[in-house]
Amino acid sequence: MLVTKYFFKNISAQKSFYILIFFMMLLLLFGGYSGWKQVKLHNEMMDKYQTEARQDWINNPDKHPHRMAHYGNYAFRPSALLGFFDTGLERYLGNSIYLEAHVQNSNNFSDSEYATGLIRFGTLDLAMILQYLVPLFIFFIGFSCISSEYENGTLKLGLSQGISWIQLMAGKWFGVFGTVLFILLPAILFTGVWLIRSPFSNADMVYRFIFLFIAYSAYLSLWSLITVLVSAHSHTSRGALNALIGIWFMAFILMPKVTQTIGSAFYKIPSKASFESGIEAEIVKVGDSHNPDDPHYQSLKDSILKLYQVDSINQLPVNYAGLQMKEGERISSEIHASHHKNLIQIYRKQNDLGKWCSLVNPYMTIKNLSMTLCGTDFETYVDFQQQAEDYRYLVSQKMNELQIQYISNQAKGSSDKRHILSQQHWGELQPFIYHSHSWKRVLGVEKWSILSICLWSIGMLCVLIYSSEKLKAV
Amino acid sequence: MIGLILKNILRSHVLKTGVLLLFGTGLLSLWIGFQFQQRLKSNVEESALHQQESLIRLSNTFQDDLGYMLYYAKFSLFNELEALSGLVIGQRDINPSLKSFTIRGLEAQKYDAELKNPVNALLGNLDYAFVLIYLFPLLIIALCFNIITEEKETGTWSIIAVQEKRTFTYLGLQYGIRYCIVMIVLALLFLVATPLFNISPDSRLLNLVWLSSLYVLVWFSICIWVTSINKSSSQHAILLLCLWLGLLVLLPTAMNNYISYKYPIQEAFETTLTQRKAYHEKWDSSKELTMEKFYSHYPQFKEFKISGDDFSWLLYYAMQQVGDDEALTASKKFKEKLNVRNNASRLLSQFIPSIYTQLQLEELAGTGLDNQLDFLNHCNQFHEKLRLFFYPKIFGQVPSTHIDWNTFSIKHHKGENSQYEVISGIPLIMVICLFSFLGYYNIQRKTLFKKS
Repeated sequence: MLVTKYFFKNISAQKSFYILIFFMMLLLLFGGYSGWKQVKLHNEMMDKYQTEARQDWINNPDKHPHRMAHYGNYAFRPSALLGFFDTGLERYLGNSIYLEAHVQNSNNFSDSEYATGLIRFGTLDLAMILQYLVPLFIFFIGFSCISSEYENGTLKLGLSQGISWIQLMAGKWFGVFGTVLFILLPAILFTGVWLIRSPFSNADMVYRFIFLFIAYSAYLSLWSLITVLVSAHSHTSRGALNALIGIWFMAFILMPKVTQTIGSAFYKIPSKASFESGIEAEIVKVGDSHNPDDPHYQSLKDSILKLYQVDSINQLPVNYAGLQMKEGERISSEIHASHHKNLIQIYRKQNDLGKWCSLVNPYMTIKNLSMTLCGTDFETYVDFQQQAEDYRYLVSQKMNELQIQYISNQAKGSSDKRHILSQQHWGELQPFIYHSHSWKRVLGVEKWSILSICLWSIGMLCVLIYSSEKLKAV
Repeated sequence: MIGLILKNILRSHVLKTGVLLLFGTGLLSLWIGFQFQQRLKSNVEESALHQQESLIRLSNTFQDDLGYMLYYAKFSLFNELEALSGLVIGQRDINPSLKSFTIRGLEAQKYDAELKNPVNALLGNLDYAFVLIYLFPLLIIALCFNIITEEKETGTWSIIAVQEKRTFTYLGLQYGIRYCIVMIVLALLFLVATPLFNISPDSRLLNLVWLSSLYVLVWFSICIWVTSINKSSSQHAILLLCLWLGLLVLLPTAMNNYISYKYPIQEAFETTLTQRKAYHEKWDSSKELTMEKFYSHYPQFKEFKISGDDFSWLLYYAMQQVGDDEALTASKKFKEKLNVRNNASRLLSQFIPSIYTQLQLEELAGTGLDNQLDFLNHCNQFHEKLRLFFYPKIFGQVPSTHIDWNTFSIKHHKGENSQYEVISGIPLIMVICLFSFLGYYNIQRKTLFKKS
C-alpha cells in the first residue's frame, strides 16, 4: 500500500490539513456536547412534568369518574437516547399531548413553534457533521489526489513503474478514507462512551449504535471512493473540484428540499377545520348521543334493558349513562383513528418521494437511516402518538367502567356531589410510559435506505474496476 | 474594455449554468410561495364554510340551551398573510395561521398545533429567502473565486499588472459587471414576484429589495477579500466555501443550539398543567368561592346568581374563567420567556449577516416569531370579546335561535408591522465595509503586483 502511505505523507505535510482537522474536532466536541446537554435537559423536563401530571391526577379527591375522565392525563414525549447523535425530527415534534375523554387533542409545544427564524438554519449535531460536512471535507482533501498527478506528470511515472490503475485508485481511496477515520472514530467513540455512561442504555441501544457505525463507515467510504473516481476521470484538479462541488450542491442542498416540497405540493394536507368536521359528521351519522330519539342509542338502550330484563333505566343494576358513554367513546375513537390513519398516510406519501430519491442520493439515504436508527424519525413519532392515543382510550374506558359499576342511575350527571367514587381508584391506573420499539423495526422501515447503500457500494466498486481497465495516463 | 470583460464572462460555462440554475430555482421558489399562500387561503375559505355550517347545526340541536351549544361551538381567527409572505414563508408553515376557539378556557386551546408533517418542517421550504440567503452566495462565489488567479494561471495577469493605474479600474469592472449580472437575476425574480403575489410598491417592498441587494453585496465584499489573498483558484474556492459553511451552516446552527438550550420553554408545560389543575379543582371546591372570584373579575355579571346544587352553565363558565385567571401568571411567564428568546436571537444576529437577513426578511413579511407572538396576544382579545358577548346571553338563558349566527364568520387579524427604514441595513453595511476594506488593503499592499 505504497500509494496510501504516500497519500498520508503528502497530506500531513500541509498546514491547512491540520487546521481542517482541528476545526472538525472542535465542531464534533461542540455538536456532541450541546446535543448531550439538550437531550438531558429535555428528558429531565419531560420527566418532571410527567411526574407532576401524574401526581396531580392521583391527588384528586373523591369524585365522579367522568370528572376524572375529563381531568385527563398528559403524554410527554421523551427524547430518544441517541437523539443527541442525530436530532432528526425532535425539534419539530410536539412535546406534549393532553389526553382526555371524547377528544383527541393535538400534539403541542414543539420546540420549533416557539423558535425564531434561526430554526430555519437547522441544528448542529454529530449526524449533521458526519452527513453534511465530512463529505465536503473529503472533497477538499481528495479532489486532486489523482488529477494533480496528471498535471505534474507523476502519474505516468508511477504507472510505468508497475503500479496498476486499480492499485493506484484503491490506494488513494484507502488514503482518503483513512484520513476520514480521524473524524469518524472520535465521533463514534464519543457516542459510545456516552452510551456506556448513560444509565438508560440497553442492549437495543448497542445494536443501534453498531448499525450506526457501519452505516456511517459505508457512507463516508462511498464518498471517498466517489471523490477518487471523479479525480481520476478529470484531467485537471480544477475540473475535479468543480464537478465535486456541483455534486455537493445538487445532492446536499437542492435535492432534499425540492423533493420534499414537490411531494407536499402533490399530496395536500387537509385543513384542521375540514379534518375535524369530517370526523364529527361521521360520528353523528353513526349515532348522536345528544339526540334522545337517535336510533343507534335507542337500540343500545333497548338491548340493555332486555339483557337485564327490566323496563326502565332506573331499575338497571349498572349505570346507563356510563354504558352510553362507553359506546360513544368506542365509536368516536374508531372514526378518529381511521381519519388519523389517512392523514398519516398523506404524510407518508409526501415523504415517499424523498425516500425514492434516496436511491440516487446517498446523502438522503443516510439522513433517513440515521434518524431511524437514532429513534428521531417519522415512524417513531407516529408510534408515540399511537401509544398516547391508546392510553387515552384506556383511561377513558376505565373511567366509564368505574361509572358503570359504581355510580347509581339516580345521579344527575357528573356534577352531582352525592354520587362520587373514592379516590383510591385513581391510583389503580398505570401511569403513561412511552415504550420505544426494538431496533429490528428499523430494518423494515428503512429497507430502501439499506438497499440504496448496498447498491451504491456495489455500483461504485464496479465503476472502480471498470475505470481501472479503461483509464489512460494521458 | 467592458465589452471584452463581458464577452469573457459570458463565454464561461459556470456563468451560464449558474445563472440558469439560480433563476430556475428562484422561479420554483416563487411557485412554492404561491402554492403556500393559495393553500392557506383555501383553508380559510373551507374553515369559514365549516364554521357557518356547524354553528347552524349546533343552534338547531341545542335550541334552548345556549350554554351547551357554546360548549361545542368554535370561532376562528385568521392571522392574515402579507403579500410578501409568498417570498419569505418563515415559520408560517409551522405556526398555525388559523386558530379556532370555543368560549371555554383559553389557555387550554391557545397553543393547539396545526396539522403538519414534521418532515416538511425539517427540510424546510424552498422560498425566495432560502434562494437569496443560501444560493445567491454560491453563484457569487462561482463567479468570483478566480477573478485574479485565473489570469495568473493562464498568464494574462502580467499584461494587466504592468499598467498599474488601470489595475484598480480593471478589477472594479470585473466585480462591477458580475454584480450587475447577479442583480439582473434578482431583478428578474422581483419582476415575476410583484404581479404574482400582488405586492404593492410600498416601503416594505423597497426594504426587501434594499436588504436583498445589501446581502448580495456582503458576499461580493467577502469575495473581494478572499481573492485578494492571492493563493490558487482552488484554494480560493475552498476558502470561500468554508466561509459559506461558516456563515450559513455552522454559526446559525450553533447559535440555534445555544438559544434553545439557554432558553428552554418549560413555562409552556407549566402553563398547561396549571390550567388543568386550576380549572378542575373548581369542581371540588366551594361554588361560592368560585363565583366570588368570577364576580370580582366581571362585576357586571353580579346580577346572575347560581341556585341550589344543580349544575348551571353560569357556574361552569365561571369555573373555566377562574381556571384561566389562575393560570395567568404561568402564561405570562411563558410569554416573557418567548420574548427573551426572541430578543436574544435578534441581538446575536446583528453580527452574522445571514441570520440578520433572515430575521429581518421574516419581520418584513410578517412570518417570524414577532408576528406569532402578536397573533397570540390578539387571540386573548378575540376570545375575551366572544366571552363578553356570550356570557350575558348564556346566563340570561337566551335561546340560541335568537342569535344571528350568520354574523359569526371568521375574523381576520392583521399584524402590526413596524415600518422599516434604511437603518435596517446598517449591520450589513458594516460587514460590507469591513471586507471591502480588507480586500482593498491587500491589493493596495501590492502583493498582487510583486508576485506576478
